Amino acid sequence: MKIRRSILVPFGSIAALGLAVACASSPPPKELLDARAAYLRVQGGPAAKLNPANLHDAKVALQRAERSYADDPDSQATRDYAYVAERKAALAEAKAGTKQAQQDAETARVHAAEAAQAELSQARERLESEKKARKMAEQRARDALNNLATVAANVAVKNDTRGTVITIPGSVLFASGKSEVLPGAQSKLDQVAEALWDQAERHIEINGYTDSVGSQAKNQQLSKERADHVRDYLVSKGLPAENVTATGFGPADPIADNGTNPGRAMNRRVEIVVAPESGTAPESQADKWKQGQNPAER
Amino acid sequence: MRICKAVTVFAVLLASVGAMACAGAPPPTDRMASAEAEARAAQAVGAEKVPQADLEYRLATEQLAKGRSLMKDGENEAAARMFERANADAELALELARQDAARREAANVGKASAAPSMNP
Repeated sequence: MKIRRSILVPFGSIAALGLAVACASSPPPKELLDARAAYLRVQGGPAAKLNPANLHDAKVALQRAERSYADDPDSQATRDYAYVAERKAALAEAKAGTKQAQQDAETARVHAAEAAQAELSQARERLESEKKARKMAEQRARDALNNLATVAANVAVKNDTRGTVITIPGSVLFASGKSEVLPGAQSKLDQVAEALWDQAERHIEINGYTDSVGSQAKNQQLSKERADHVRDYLVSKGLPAENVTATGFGPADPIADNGTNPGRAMNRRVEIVVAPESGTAPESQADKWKQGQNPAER
Repeated sequence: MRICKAVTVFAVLLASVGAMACAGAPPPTDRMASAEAEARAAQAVGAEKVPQADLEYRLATEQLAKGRSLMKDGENEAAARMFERANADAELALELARQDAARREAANVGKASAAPSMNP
């Protein structure tokens, strides 16, 4: 046995050497060099992770080419197999590239959707807080108006179908038979103007009324002039002129008995009507007038 | 001399066996059909419009023609390998075209999301 082995070993070495010499004698064809390089490149790239199946195909193809090269280095078959192996490696690489691009697109889509969602909820929050702020402002304005009665003596505030109605007795505002606002009454109108600032977007009617004493025409004129003066004063305090109208109604729509002194005093008045917030037109005294229901003729 | 004779006989025998093997290989019509189908698929996804894919597509069609010619000459084994090359080229052309489309789409999605969004 010892002898046999000692003979066999050198034989094996010689055989191996002979093979190596044969290999060395014909260098690998360009196709095989390309295929080896391509496989190494792709193996080290993302394909190993993204596309192992195609990488394996490439490996099998390269092994076939290597076997063919070992058997018959110069054959066309070796070159053909190597060519196919190089293409298989490139295919694995391309498929990995496709997959990567698809994943990138998906990620971008998800990011875009998340960003859109975030923006939407931000917008929603913004809207919500704006709504809240508006509601609070409206409430403040309503309170200011309703509290006017407690702040300013002789001023009555009530809500009816026309909106919020502020009634100021004529004796507070004007001297008998005159239409200029008394200097002492200006502070009262200042308070009214202040309460009305928050209502600047709403339509405000200034309605002048007299008692039934005296001529209709004169009362009509006086009530109109008084309403105009109150309007001018409020506008001078900052209310938007386009939202404030003045109308004289003379002795129309009495709120008390014209047969008594206190009743007549109550009927001589200026009403400031603030339209409801909704923007729907209130049942305006001026509209009634236009519709032929001239209160002065009643 | 005797050794030479023996080698000659052996070589002749080997050659004849090889010739028989060649004659025995049937025409690789399946491989041809497969490579043709792959080339058509590459064309269908627009391989000709993507430069790198177009190159592979052209190689595939050239080698398909070579394979047909080899098959005509009875070189069936060589033809089979040529069709295999054509098939590999067509597959690569198809995938390169797909990769290009996928990259374009990814870029578009990225661009769309990077664009300033509408303000409420």
